[in-house]
Amino acid sequence: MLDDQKTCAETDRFLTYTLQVNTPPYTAAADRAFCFAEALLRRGHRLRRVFFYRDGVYHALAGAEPPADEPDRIGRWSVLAERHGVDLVVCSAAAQRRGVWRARGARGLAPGFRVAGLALLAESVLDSDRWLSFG
Amino acid sequence: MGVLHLLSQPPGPVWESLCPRLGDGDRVLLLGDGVYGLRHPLLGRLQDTGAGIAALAPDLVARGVEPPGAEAVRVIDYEEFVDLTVACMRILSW
Repeated sequence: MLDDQKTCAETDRFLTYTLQVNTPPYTAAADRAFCFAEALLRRGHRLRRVFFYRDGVYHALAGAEPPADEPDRIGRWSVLAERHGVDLVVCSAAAQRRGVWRARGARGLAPGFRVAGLALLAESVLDSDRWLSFG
Repeated sequence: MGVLHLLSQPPGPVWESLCPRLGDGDRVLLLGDGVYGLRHPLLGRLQDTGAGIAALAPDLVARGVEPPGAEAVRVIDYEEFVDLTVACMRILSW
């Protein structure tokens, strides 16, 4: 069954990951993506880029503030990006369509996020050892 | 090196589509609402494919699903989930 797994410490294999998040911040799938991101970093792997696609682009909505008694599901990505040098990218077309970002005009994104096209996701997938999609 | 299938859908049509695609060497991780399948007859179909099956512990706890007593399904945490992705080069989400 699954008894052939070894930890990376045993196998000394450290991999580079790209994650794709397709659902908004307050969803189970987005939570799983974040927990997975933290776990892979704890295991010593590298998280190269997180690509927010479809409704996942709402992660980059500047000024979104959860009530004080709730975890900050947007800010935590920004903190992760700063601490571990993770590139947080939102799909430009998906963000524009939802009013999260405007090509013309001053509509900023949450700290640590930037916009790019699907070509960057493709490049990222090719350059990473592993690609996982959430939601 | 087999494929790791991330199955977050509750048992139903998606499970039915997945079963014929599985073989020895493949793995299935039940996560999210997929863990409800641990209490469903379709789990037997999944096991009959020969694929290794695991379930994500925090999602079992969150949904009040009892961990399976049998050896057939391994209950794992997030770090072991990461290890699974090291063991499988291709990962598909359902």
